[in-house]
Amino acid sequence: MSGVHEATALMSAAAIDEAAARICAQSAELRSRGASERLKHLGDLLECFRDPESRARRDLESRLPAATGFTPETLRAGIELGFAPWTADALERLYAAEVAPHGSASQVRSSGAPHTAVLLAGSIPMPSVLSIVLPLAIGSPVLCKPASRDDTTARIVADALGEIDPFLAECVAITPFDAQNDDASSAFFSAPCVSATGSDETIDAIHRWLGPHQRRVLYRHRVSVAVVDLANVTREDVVQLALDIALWDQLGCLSPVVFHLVGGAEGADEDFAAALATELAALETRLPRGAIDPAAAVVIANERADAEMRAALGQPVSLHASEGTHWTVVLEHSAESRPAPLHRFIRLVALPDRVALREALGRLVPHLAGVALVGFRDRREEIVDVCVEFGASRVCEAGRLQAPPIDWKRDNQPLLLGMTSLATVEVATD
Amino acid sequence: MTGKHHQSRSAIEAELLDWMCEPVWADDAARFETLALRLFAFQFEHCDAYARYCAARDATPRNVSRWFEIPPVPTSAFKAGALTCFDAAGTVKTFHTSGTTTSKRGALHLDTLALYEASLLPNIRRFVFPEVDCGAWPTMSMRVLAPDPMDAPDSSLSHMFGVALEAFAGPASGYDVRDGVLESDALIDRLKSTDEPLALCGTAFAFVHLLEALDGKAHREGEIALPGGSRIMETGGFKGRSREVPQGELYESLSKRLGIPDHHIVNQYGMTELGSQFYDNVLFDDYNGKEGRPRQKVAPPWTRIRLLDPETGERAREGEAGIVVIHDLANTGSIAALQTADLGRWVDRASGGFEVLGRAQGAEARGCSIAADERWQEAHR
Repeated sequence: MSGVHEATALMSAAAIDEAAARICAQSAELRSRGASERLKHLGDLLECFRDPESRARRDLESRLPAATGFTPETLRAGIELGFAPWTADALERLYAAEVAPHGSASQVRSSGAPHTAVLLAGSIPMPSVLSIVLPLAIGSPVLCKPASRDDTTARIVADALGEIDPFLAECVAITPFDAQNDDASSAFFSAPCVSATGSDETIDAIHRWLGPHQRRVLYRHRVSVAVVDLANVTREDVVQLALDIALWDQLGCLSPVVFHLVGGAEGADEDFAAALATELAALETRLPRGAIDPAAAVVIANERADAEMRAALGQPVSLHASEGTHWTVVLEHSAESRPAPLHRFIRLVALPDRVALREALGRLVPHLAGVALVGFRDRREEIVDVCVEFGASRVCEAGRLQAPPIDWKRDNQPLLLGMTSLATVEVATD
Repeated sequence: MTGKHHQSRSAIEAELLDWMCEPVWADDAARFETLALRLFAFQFEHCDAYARYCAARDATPRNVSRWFEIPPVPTSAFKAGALTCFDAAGTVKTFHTSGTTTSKRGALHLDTLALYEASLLPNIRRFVFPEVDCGAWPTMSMRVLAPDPMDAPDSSLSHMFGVALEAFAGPASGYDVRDGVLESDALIDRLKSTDEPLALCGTAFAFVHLLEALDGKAHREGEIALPGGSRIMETGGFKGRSREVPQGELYESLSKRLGIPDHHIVNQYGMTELGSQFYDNVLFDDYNGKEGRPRQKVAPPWTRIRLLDPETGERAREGEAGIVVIHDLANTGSIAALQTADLGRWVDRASGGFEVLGRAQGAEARGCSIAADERWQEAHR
């Protein structure tokens, strides 16, 4: 049975074992099809998601607001931007770069595991889609546990695959289960290869389920930032930075939680904060934020009150905020770690110089993911080097944080190699 | 502080002390309102930062006419600076909030402990030792699963236990945490050998450590049945730290392993920044024949709880969770109106009974429970 037809009820260990056995039985045929055929169909799948008129894309746009809490407008904008670079050609290039056979005196052959257990997390559809596509690309069937905050995307992927290539769809089994069910967890994590995304605590817990010989590709808690050269920031930069915050309501690892501001004339930081607030207010009309639960709203309310209280205590802190909790801009002059309430709550930290910037970025190790760079002109390479030194896996322009290329080295690691067995096959010589 | 203002605070405190010492807790709304407004005026005038904070909200003693219009400060503000209404030289005690090694700790500075202790004693007596109010005080001993206040002078929790222990605890009372380590073997031996009821008081974390120690011993020694009338006072959640045990599960385990019925396990909701605490009704109800009320926290008459919709800042709708805002008149020297990072819900709106649903996810982890646990971890390292 493919994911298309599976029930939504939580599965038992026995049911997971059965699903694993079923997809494992497809493994040999999946591998025998060859990479080019697999990549063609998976490329078609990605093109479906890129096409606003496709059924898969329409399904995502219509079903995810209820499943994830994003507003339809924000979801549409995020999907449009996020899938745009993920072309069939880009997938082929990724495969070619990481695992395609190459060499002359010897050949490298690759093979995927008999099956890969994929643990999805969060509520953003793109990483979920890619997490299912990647093992299939290397010929490994997928046992997939949907995210608790998105039980829909995996099913839409399976449905779309079923329309493109029913056999590929049969290589995907969606197995929702209760994470507290140890037997079910044991069955799921007994896969020869495991790919998972989660908090550091979740990933540490998953490590404990895995044996020494299981392959694993694990993605941990990450945050992103922007570094803004106030001397060279334009109005359009501010518009794009606001978009980086607003898309996915700041809930992705590529969502910026803090902007580090350097340079600029006196008062430039306040001007920037005001301009950003204006843009976030405008975006709230065009791309409204999703509803949030009371606990998240409490954090925002408290962090706003905290900023006001610190200002009252004479500290250089200023607050720009919407009526409700829809967006918040707090301008700080200290890089001290503070809570990140998310849901369009951005801290701007005005730093005196590049030494302070270096210290501020250093504090984000080992959690730094993406950095949007604004300005810097001839010093750009120098700042990029600092970002990379502190573990950034991606440096991009403002407005592009939510549009990573398909071959983005998420968590500083290759996408396919970690789940691929490689063999050197030497060519016989006469 | 001018003589006039000093008099003003003294007068407020004198009235509060009288109120706290009254044997019957009467919900006197007019008395609360009057004192709250006078205290707000005093604090507005003597804490510049608070005055600026209130003024930014257009709330001053001139235009605030009801107690619930008094702006609350976030508890996190106690990390940012000294929120006091007296000269720093007058500080006689500073309590610190718990925190990780990388985060700042909040501080409550006090220039007198009189009101602080006057508030805590009738409260703990009423809800943890209700026999006292019934006139039948048994010489019950307290075992405290927290450090001695001499070892943790900046811990408000240890101070509270110290005051209570000195005021009305029996001869076998004492502390079971030494150098940051729960002396579980000695405590378990004591629990096994006692033939008098005991009051076990400590953090949720401490009780988890005790249960773990009991698990280790259970295979050899079986479970403990403490004498009837024994009770537990547990304070502090898990605050986002590891080894969290849901309250229901914790109480079930404690009941089973120690032979203490659920309605003899009292949770206390308190925080370093507050002078008063809020206890569960269960033991009080049991001793006063009020069976059947659901578990809820009771606010002493000199405090008020508000639950606010975090989106609007208005009163949370009936049945919905809201930010817990506390107006505690015992906080005369700092700020009386505090906005916590906790979510709460009314259990009995009419009587003011509420429950705390927990800390909002994403808020900083803090609390007395953590301080104790970190000390354990450090000791184990």
